[in-house]
Amino acid sequence: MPAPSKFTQALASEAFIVTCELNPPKGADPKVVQDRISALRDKVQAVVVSDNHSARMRMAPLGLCRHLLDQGLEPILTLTCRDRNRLALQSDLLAAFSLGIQNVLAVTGDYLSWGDHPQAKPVYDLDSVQLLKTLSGLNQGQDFSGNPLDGAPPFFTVGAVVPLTAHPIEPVVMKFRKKEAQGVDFFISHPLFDLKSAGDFFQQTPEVKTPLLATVCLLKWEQVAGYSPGNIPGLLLPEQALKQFQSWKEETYESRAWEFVAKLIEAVKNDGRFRGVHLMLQDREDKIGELI
Amino acid sequence: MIVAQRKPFAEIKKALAPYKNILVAGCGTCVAVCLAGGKKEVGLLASQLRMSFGLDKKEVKISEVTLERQCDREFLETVKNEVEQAEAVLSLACGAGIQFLAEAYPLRPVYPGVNTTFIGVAEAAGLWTERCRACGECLLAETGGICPRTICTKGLNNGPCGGMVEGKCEVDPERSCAWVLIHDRLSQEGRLAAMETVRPPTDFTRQTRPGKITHAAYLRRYHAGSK
Repeated sequence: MPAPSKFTQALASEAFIVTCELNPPKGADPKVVQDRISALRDKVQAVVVSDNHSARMRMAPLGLCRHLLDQGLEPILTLTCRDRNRLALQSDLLAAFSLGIQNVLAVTGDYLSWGDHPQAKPVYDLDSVQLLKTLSGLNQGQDFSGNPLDGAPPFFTVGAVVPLTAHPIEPVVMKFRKKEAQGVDFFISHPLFDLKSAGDFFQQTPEVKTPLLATVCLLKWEQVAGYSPGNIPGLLLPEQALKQFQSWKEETYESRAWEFVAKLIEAVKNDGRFRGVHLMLQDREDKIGELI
Repeated sequence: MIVAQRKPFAEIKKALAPYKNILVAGCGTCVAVCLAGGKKEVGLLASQLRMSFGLDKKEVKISEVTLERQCDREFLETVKNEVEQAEAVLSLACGAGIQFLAEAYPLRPVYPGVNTTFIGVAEAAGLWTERCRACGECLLAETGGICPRTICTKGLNNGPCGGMVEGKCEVDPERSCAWVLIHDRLSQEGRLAAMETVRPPTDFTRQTRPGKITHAAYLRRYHAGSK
């Protein structure tokens, strides 16, 4: 039996964890993202490989995760419920584990209308809670229908997402608790731009024991300039942060944004409620050395 | 009711181009209520076709008829003469009615004049919205009378997705998030605990197409000898 993943070991340790998102290339050649892969080596405990991010078709994360393993990086496979029914989700998971991919982030998935194939059939056969339950079943050696798995069962380290700054927060907290009850090993937040915006969530869930990583996102100038609530899926910018970003001039935006991200990482580190930080650098992972 | 929307005129006219004697057949039930295919819409469309073919200097006879329902054999039989006298039929019923009309008159080409869209309600004058996905296993008892499989774009069974913004849906910011509505409703009713249940996924065997239901009193008539 293989050893627990390096990321699992990090979760069990006291270390402050750093993960980073990596979008697979829109093409069959992993060399397209080689610079980013190389830059992430030794900088992060694990790389979260996105799954058709924003419903834009790209290389399956399963493939890129395997490339990362070949290069000695620890992958976290994102799996959305949007593109696969319960058979495909499970068979992809079994394939992933057989290829050495042990960490999974189970998500619902941005709706197809955000992406480049808006006329495709949305699946959502399972939702994220049910996918987490499925993962728990696979880890116990049985599929969703209760059939036993052949051979040694997988032992996935299972992650889920939580939008800490959503409003109203009550239904979000209820879903968070459902996810937690499925045996989640870690949570990753939606992008945070300050820590006080998550106050309502923490007020309602003082008992959270599951390791939680705060997502820190490097926004692009166009995203800031054209921002309106809801125009980028999963992104909620507090008014104060938006004003601050928009007050920066385009020429100096980039350096200021990196500075902001660095400061926010420090704030997360010092906050005490987070086990680590998850970076969303939006295809600028090659510059991660400036932060870590 | 079943809500439909009339097809664009150009599409209808193009489909009917080969014919010189056309019957426009409306349906007096759902599509009449949603102003897509009742008697009034049949009259309007028939006039529009007459004028348009007339401008093309093309002689085409357009007749009109509106049935009580096209999804019922009994009513379909009442228009036998009209259908047989026409070369082709343009049906403004829902997809079920169109097919049943075509089935009843196998020698007549039948064309659809509407796109059938959803099961919904007349929310306001001229506004129809979807309320039911005909999933075959109604869970409204647990969700405060609000269907997450229909009102949530993703059809999620266990709470809101991460795309909700200020209580609105990530797909349509003008529409409330189904799970925020369900939360508020259950809260008002004092049974918020119902939202804590982890619900199983939808059972899609209930949606195996084509659906078929036999009333208990008719089982012997239709299934005698079958297992």
